[in-house]
Amino acid sequence: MANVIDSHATTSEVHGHRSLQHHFENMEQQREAGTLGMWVFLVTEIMFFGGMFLAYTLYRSIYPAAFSSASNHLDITLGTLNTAVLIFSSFTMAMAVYCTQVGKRRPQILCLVITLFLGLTFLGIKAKEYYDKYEDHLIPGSLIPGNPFKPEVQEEGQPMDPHKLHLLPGATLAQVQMFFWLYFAMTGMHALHMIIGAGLITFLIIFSLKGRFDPQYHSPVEVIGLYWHFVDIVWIFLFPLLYLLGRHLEHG
Amino acid sequence: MTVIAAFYDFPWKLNAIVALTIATIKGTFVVLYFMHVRYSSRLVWVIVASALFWLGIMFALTFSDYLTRSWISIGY
Repeated sequence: MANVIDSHATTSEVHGHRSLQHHFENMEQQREAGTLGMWVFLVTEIMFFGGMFLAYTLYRSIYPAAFSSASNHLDITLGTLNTAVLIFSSFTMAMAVYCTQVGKRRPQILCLVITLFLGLTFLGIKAKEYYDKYEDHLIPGSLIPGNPFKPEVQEEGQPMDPHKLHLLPGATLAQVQMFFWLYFAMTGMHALHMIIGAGLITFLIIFSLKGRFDPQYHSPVEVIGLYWHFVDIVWIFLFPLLYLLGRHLEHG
Repeated sequence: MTVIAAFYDFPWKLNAIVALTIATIKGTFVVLYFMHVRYSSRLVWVIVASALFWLGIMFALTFSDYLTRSWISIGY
Protein backbone atom coordinates (compact mmCIF):
# COMPACT_ATOMS: atom_id res chain seq x y z
CA MET A 1 0.00 0.00 0.00
CA ALA A 2 2.84 2.35 0.90
CA ASN A 3 4.17 1.69 -2.57
CA VAL A 4 1.07 3.09 -4.22
CA ILE A 5 0.96 6.23 -2.06
CA ASP A 6 4.66 6.97 -2.61
CA SER A 7 4.38 6.67 -6.35
CA HIS A 8 1.37 8.98 -6.33
CA ALA A 9 3.55 11.91 -5.47
CA THR A 10 6.37 11.09 -7.89
CA THR A 11 4.50 10.19 -11.07
CA SER A 12 2.18 13.17 -11.27
CA GLU A 13 3.86 14.14 -14.54
CA VAL A 14 2.27 11.19 -16.33
CA HIS A 15 -1.16 12.25 -15.13
CA GLY A 16 -3.52 12.56 -18.05
CA HIS A 17 -1.84 9.86 -20.17
CA ARG A 18 -4.24 8.83 -22.94
CA SER A 19 -4.28 5.21 -21.68
CA LEU A 20 -5.16 6.18 -18.09
CA GLN A 21 -8.63 4.94 -17.17
CA HIS A 22 -10.69 7.48 -15.22
CA HIS A 23 -11.06 5.27 -12.10
CA PHE A 24 -7.31 5.26 -11.42
CA GLU A 25 -5.34 8.04 -9.77
CA ASN A 26 -2.29 7.67 -12.00
CA MET A 27 -0.45 5.32 -14.34
CA GLU A 28 1.51 3.63 -11.56
CA GLN A 29 -1.64 2.77 -9.62
CA GLN A 30 -3.27 1.45 -12.79
CA ARG A 31 -0.25 -0.73 -13.55
CA GLU A 32 -0.08 -2.06 -10.01
CA ALA A 33 -3.79 -2.93 -10.03
CA GLY A 34 -3.46 -4.73 -13.36
CA THR A 35 -0.47 -6.79 -12.22
CA LEU A 36 -2.19 -7.70 -8.97
CA GLY A 37 -5.34 -8.75 -10.81
CA MET A 38 -3.31 -10.97 -13.12
CA TRP A 39 -1.62 -12.61 -10.15
CA VAL A 40 -4.97 -13.35 -8.54
CA PHE A 41 -6.05 -14.97 -11.80
CA LEU A 42 -2.80 -16.95 -11.92
CA VAL A 43 -3.48 -18.24 -8.40
CA THR A 44 -6.78 -19.70 -9.64
CA GLU A 45 -4.86 -21.21 -12.56
CA ILE A 46 -2.29 -22.71 -10.19
CA MET A 47 -5.10 -24.34 -8.23
CA PHE A 48 -6.68 -25.60 -11.46
CA PHE A 49 -3.49 -27.27 -12.68
CA GLY A 50 -2.74 -28.24 -9.08
CA GLY A 51 -5.80 -30.49 -9.10
CA MET A 52 -4.44 -32.39 -12.09
CA PHE A 53 -0.97 -32.61 -10.57
CA LEU A 54 -2.62 -34.00 -7.46
CA ALA A 55 -4.45 -36.67 -9.47
CA TYR A 56 -1.19 -37.55 -11.22
CA THR A 57 0.77 -37.84 -7.96
CA LEU A 58 -1.95 -39.99 -6.40
CA TYR A 59 -2.21 -42.45 -9.29
CA ARG A 60 1.54 -42.58 -9.67
CA SER A 61 1.85 -43.59 -6.03
CA ILE A 62 -0.72 -46.34 -6.56
CA TYR A 63 0.55 -47.66 -9.94
CA PRO A 64 4.32 -46.98 -10.04
CA ALA A 65 5.12 -49.81 -12.48
CA ALA A 66 2.42 -48.84 -14.98
CA PHE A 67 3.38 -45.17 -14.82
CA SER A 68 7.03 -46.04 -15.49
CA SER A 69 6.09 -48.23 -18.44
CA ALA A 70 3.91 -45.52 -19.96
CA SER A 71 6.36 -42.72 -19.18
CA ASN A 72 9.16 -44.62 -20.94
CA HIS A 73 7.02 -44.79 -24.05
CA LEU A 74 6.91 -40.97 -24.39
CA ASP A 75 9.34 -39.37 -26.82
CA ILE A 76 11.97 -37.83 -24.55
CA THR A 77 13.84 -36.12 -27.41
CA LEU A 78 10.77 -34.18 -28.50
CA GLY A 79 9.93 -33.48 -24.86
CA THR A 80 13.40 -32.05 -24.15
CA LEU A 81 13.30 -30.04 -27.37
CA ASN A 82 9.93 -28.59 -26.39
CA THR A 83 11.22 -27.67 -22.93
CA ALA A 84 14.11 -25.77 -24.49
CA VAL A 85 11.79 -24.06 -27.00
CA LEU A 86 9.41 -22.96 -24.26
CA ILE A 87 12.07 -21.70 -21.84
CA PHE A 88 13.66 -19.75 -24.68
CA SER A 89 10.27 -18.27 -25.60
CA SER A 90 9.85 -17.23 -21.95
CA PHE A 91 13.20 -15.47 -22.23
CA THR A 92 12.23 -13.60 -25.41
CA MET A 93 8.93 -12.66 -23.73
CA ALA A 94 10.84 -11.21 -20.78
CA MET A 95 13.00 -9.29 -23.29
CA ALA A 96 9.84 -7.99 -24.98
CA VAL A 97 8.55 -6.70 -21.62
CA TYR A 98 11.91 -5.06 -20.94
CA CYS A 99 12.04 -3.43 -24.38
CA THR A 100 8.53 -2.07 -23.90
CA GLN A 101 9.42 -0.61 -20.51
CA VAL A 102 12.41 1.27 -21.92
CA GLY A 103 10.52 2.24 -25.05
CA LYS A 104 12.48 0.33 -27.70
CA ARG A 105 9.71 -0.47 -30.13
CA ARG A 106 11.47 -2.36 -32.93
CA PRO A 107 13.25 -4.88 -30.66
CA GLN A 108 10.03 -5.21 -28.71
CA ILE A 109 8.05 -6.24 -31.80
CA LEU A 110 10.89 -8.54 -32.87
CA CYS A 111 10.89 -10.25 -29.46
CA LEU A 112 7.12 -10.69 -29.57
CA VAL A 113 7.30 -12.21 -33.06
CA ILE A 114 10.05 -14.64 -31.95
CA THR A 115 7.98 -15.57 -28.87
CA LEU A 116 4.92 -16.23 -31.03
CA PHE A 117 7.01 -18.30 -33.44
CA LEU A 118 8.50 -20.39 -30.61
CA GLY A 119 5.05 -20.88 -29.09
CA LEU A 120 3.74 -22.19 -32.41
CA THR A 121 6.83 -24.42 -32.75
CA PHE A 122 6.00 -25.91 -29.37
CA LEU A 123 2.43 -26.60 -30.47
CA GLY A 124 3.67 -28.15 -33.72
CA ILE A 125 5.99 -30.54 -31.89
CA LYS A 126 3.18 -31.35 -29.44
CA ALA A 127 0.88 -32.14 -32.37
CA LYS A 128 3.52 -34.52 -33.76
CA GLU A 129 3.70 -36.27 -30.39
CA TYR A 130 -0.09 -36.56 -30.21
CA TYR A 131 -0.11 -38.03 -33.71
CA ASP A 132 2.48 -40.64 -32.65
CA LYS A 133 0.25 -41.60 -29.72
CA TYR A 134 -2.67 -41.88 -32.14
CA GLU A 135 -0.65 -44.17 -34.40
CA ASP A 136 0.24 -46.38 -31.44
CA HIS A 137 -3.42 -46.60 -30.33
CA LEU A 138 -2.65 -44.82 -27.07
CA ILE A 139 -5.56 -42.35 -27.09
CA PRO A 140 -7.45 -43.44 -23.95
CA GLY A 141 -10.98 -44.80 -24.01
CA SER A 142 -12.87 -44.41 -27.27
CA LEU A 143 -12.26 -40.69 -27.63
CA ILE A 144 -11.34 -41.22 -31.27
CA PRO A 145 -14.05 -43.29 -32.97
CA GLY A 146 -12.59 -46.39 -34.58
CA ASN A 147 -9.26 -46.06 -32.75
CA PRO A 148 -9.81 -47.14 -29.14
CA PHE A 149 -7.06 -47.54 -26.56
CA LYS A 150 -5.37 -50.74 -27.71
CA PRO A 151 -1.56 -50.51 -27.69
CA GLU A 152 0.52 -53.48 -28.82
CA VAL A 153 2.53 -54.94 -25.98
CA GLN A 154 6.21 -55.78 -26.37
CA GLU A 155 6.74 -59.54 -25.93
CA GLU A 156 9.71 -60.75 -23.88
CA GLY A 157 12.62 -61.90 -26.05
CA GLN A 158 11.30 -60.16 -29.17
CA PRO A 159 13.36 -57.36 -30.81
CA MET A 160 12.46 -53.99 -29.26
CA ASP A 161 9.85 -52.14 -31.28
CA PRO A 162 9.51 -48.45 -30.35
CA HIS A 163 5.82 -48.57 -31.31
CA LYS A 164 5.09 -51.31 -28.82
CA LEU A 165 4.48 -50.71 -25.15
CA HIS A 166 7.05 -52.29 -22.87
CA LEU A 167 5.13 -53.29 -19.73
CA LEU A 168 7.17 -53.57 -16.55
CA PRO A 169 6.30 -56.38 -14.13
CA GLY A 170 3.17 -55.57 -12.16
CA ALA A 171 1.76 -53.14 -14.73
CA THR A 172 -1.56 -53.69 -16.51
CA LEU A 173 -2.93 -52.01 -19.63
CA ALA A 174 -5.83 -50.54 -17.65
CA GLN A 175 -3.35 -48.79 -15.36
CA VAL A 176 -1.31 -47.58 -18.32
CA GLN A 177 -4.52 -46.14 -19.75
CA MET A 178 -4.89 -44.12 -16.52
CA PHE A 179 -1.49 -42.57 -17.22
CA PHE A 180 -2.58 -41.60 -20.72
CA TRP A 181 -5.83 -40.06 -19.46
CA LEU A 182 -3.73 -37.86 -17.21
CA TYR A 183 -1.13 -37.25 -19.92
CA PHE A 184 -3.72 -36.01 -22.41
CA ALA A 185 -5.67 -34.03 -19.80
CA MET A 186 -2.57 -32.26 -18.51
CA THR A 187 -0.70 -31.65 -21.76
CA GLY A 188 -4.01 -30.91 -23.52
CA MET A 189 -4.98 -28.21 -21.02
CA HIS A 190 -1.45 -26.88 -21.23
CA ALA A 191 -1.62 -26.80 -25.04
CA LEU A 192 -4.97 -24.98 -24.83
CA HIS A 193 -3.32 -22.36 -22.65
CA MET A 194 -0.53 -22.09 -25.23
CA ILE A 195 -3.08 -21.53 -28.01
CA ILE A 196 -4.78 -18.78 -25.96
CA GLY A 197 -1.34 -17.30 -25.20
CA ALA A 198 -0.40 -17.30 -28.89
CA GLY A 199 -3.66 -15.43 -29.61
CA LEU A 200 -2.85 -12.86 -26.90
CA ILE A 201 0.65 -12.33 -28.27
CA THR A 202 -0.77 -11.80 -31.76
CA PHE A 203 -2.96 -9.11 -30.22
CA LEU A 204 0.12 -7.56 -28.58
CA ILE A 205 2.00 -7.52 -31.90
CA ILE A 206 -0.89 -5.75 -33.65
CA PHE A 207 -1.16 -3.14 -30.89
CA SER A 208 2.61 -2.63 -30.83
CA LEU A 209 2.59 -2.02 -34.57
CA LYS A 210 -0.07 0.63 -33.95
CA GLY A 211 2.25 2.20 -31.37
CA ARG A 212 -0.12 1.81 -28.44
CA PHE A 213 2.58 1.04 -25.84
CA ASP A 214 5.19 3.37 -24.38
CA PRO A 215 7.35 3.47 -21.22
CA GLN A 216 4.39 4.87 -19.23
CA TYR A 217 1.84 2.40 -20.54
CA HIS A 218 2.92 -1.21 -20.96
CA SER A 219 0.59 -3.18 -18.69
CA PRO A 220 -0.86 -5.44 -21.41
CA VAL A 221 2.63 -6.61 -22.44
CA GLU A 222 3.58 -7.15 -18.81
CA VAL A 223 0.38 -8.96 -17.84
CA ILE A 224 0.36 -11.24 -20.88
CA GLY A 225 4.05 -11.81 -20.15
CA LEU A 226 3.08 -13.04 -16.68
CA TYR A 227 0.56 -15.41 -18.25
CA TRP A 228 3.13 -16.72 -20.73
CA HIS A 229 5.67 -17.36 -17.97
CA PHE A 230 3.01 -19.17 -15.94
CA VAL A 231 2.31 -21.51 -18.86
CA ASP A 232 6.07 -22.07 -19.11
CA ILE A 233 6.25 -22.98 -15.41
CA VAL A 234 3.43 -25.51 -15.79
CA TRP A 235 5.46 -27.19 -18.53
CA ILE A 236 8.64 -27.05 -16.40
CA PHE A 237 6.80 -29.30 -13.91
CA LEU A 238 4.91 -31.41 -16.45
CA PHE A 239 8.06 -32.37 -18.32
CA PRO A 240 9.96 -34.16 -15.52
CA LEU A 241 6.78 -35.70 -14.11
CA LEU A 242 5.52 -37.14 -17.39
CA TYR A 243 8.71 -37.75 -19.39
CA LEU A 244 11.56 -38.26 -16.94
CA LEU A 245 10.40 -39.85 -13.71
CA GLY A 246 9.54 -43.19 -15.29
CA ARG A 247 13.13 -43.76 -16.32
CA HIS A 248 14.48 -43.74 -12.81
CA LEU A 249 12.42 -46.71 -11.66
CA GLU A 250 13.46 -48.81 -14.64
CA HIS A 251 17.15 -48.01 -14.70
CA GLY A 252 17.65 -48.30 -10.98
CA MET B 1 19.39 -22.22 -18.29
CA THR B 2 21.07 -24.07 -21.10
CA VAL B 3 23.22 -25.98 -18.64
CA ILE B 4 20.13 -27.15 -16.79
CA ALA B 5 18.42 -28.09 -20.03
CA ALA B 6 21.48 -30.10 -21.07
CA PHE B 7 21.48 -31.79 -17.70
CA TYR B 8 18.04 -33.08 -18.55
CA ASP B 9 19.48 -35.12 -21.41
CA PHE B 10 20.73 -37.66 -18.87
CA PRO B 11 17.59 -38.14 -16.85
CA TRP B 12 18.15 -41.74 -15.87
CA LYS B 13 20.85 -40.58 -13.49
CA LEU B 14 18.36 -38.45 -11.59
CA ASN B 15 15.88 -39.64 -9.09
CA ALA B 16 12.44 -38.16 -8.56
CA ILE B 17 13.56 -35.71 -5.92
CA VAL B 18 16.46 -34.32 -7.93
CA ALA B 19 14.26 -33.94 -11.01
CA LEU B 20 11.59 -32.08 -9.06
CA THR B 21 14.14 -29.95 -7.25
CA ILE B 22 15.56 -28.81 -10.57
CA ALA B 23 12.03 -28.09 -11.80
CA THR B 24 11.35 -26.07 -8.66
CA ILE B 25 14.59 -24.12 -9.01
CA LYS B 26 13.79 -23.38 -12.66
CA GLY B 27 10.24 -22.39 -11.72
CA THR B 28 11.43 -20.15 -8.89
CA PHE B 29 13.91 -18.48 -11.23
CA VAL B 30 11.16 -17.78 -13.75
CA VAL B 31 8.82 -16.42 -11.06
CA LEU B 32 11.40 -14.18 -9.40
CA TYR B 33 13.11 -12.72 -12.44
CA PHE B 34 11.03 -13.22 -15.60
CA MET B 35 7.83 -12.43 -13.73
CA HIS B 36 9.50 -9.63 -11.73
CA VAL B 37 8.18 -10.82 -8.36
CA ARG B 38 11.62 -9.99 -6.98
CA TYR B 39 10.92 -6.33 -7.71
CA SER B 40 7.19 -6.28 -7.04
CA SER B 41 5.23 -4.92 -4.12
CA ARG B 42 4.62 -6.79 -0.88
CA LEU B 43 1.04 -7.47 -1.96
CA VAL B 44 2.15 -9.51 -4.99
CA TRP B 45 4.43 -11.53 -2.72
CA VAL B 46 1.46 -12.33 -0.49
CA ILE B 47 -0.66 -13.45 -3.46
CA VAL B 48 2.11 -15.73 -4.78
CA ALA B 49 2.71 -17.19 -1.32
CA SER B 50 -1.02 -17.78 -0.82
CA ALA B 51 -1.11 -19.86 -4.02
CA LEU B 52 1.59 -22.15 -2.66
CA PHE B 53 -0.15 -22.23 0.71
CA TRP B 54 -3.54 -23.36 -0.67
CA LEU B 55 -1.81 -25.83 -2.96
CA GLY B 56 -0.04 -27.24 0.10
CA ILE B 57 -3.35 -27.61 1.94
CA MET B 58 -4.90 -29.42 -1.02
CA PHE B 59 -2.02 -31.90 -1.31
CA ALA B 60 -1.60 -32.40 2.45
CA LEU B 61 -5.25 -33.09 3.18
CA THR B 62 -5.76 -35.32 0.13
CA PHE B 63 -2.73 -37.45 0.90
CA SER B 64 -3.47 -37.64 4.60
CA ASP B 65 -6.64 -39.37 3.43
CA TYR B 66 -5.52 -41.57 0.52
CA LEU B 67 -2.17 -42.67 1.90
CA THR B 68 -3.75 -43.83 5.16
CA ARG B 69 -6.45 -46.04 3.69
CA SER B 70 -4.37 -48.77 2.10
CA TRP B 71 -6.90 -51.34 3.33
CA ILE B 72 -9.35 -50.08 0.69
CA SER B 73 -8.25 -50.63 -2.89
CA ILE B 74 -8.43 -47.51 -5.05
CA GLY B 75 -9.08 -47.77 -8.77
CA TYR B 76 -8.76 -51.06 -10.60
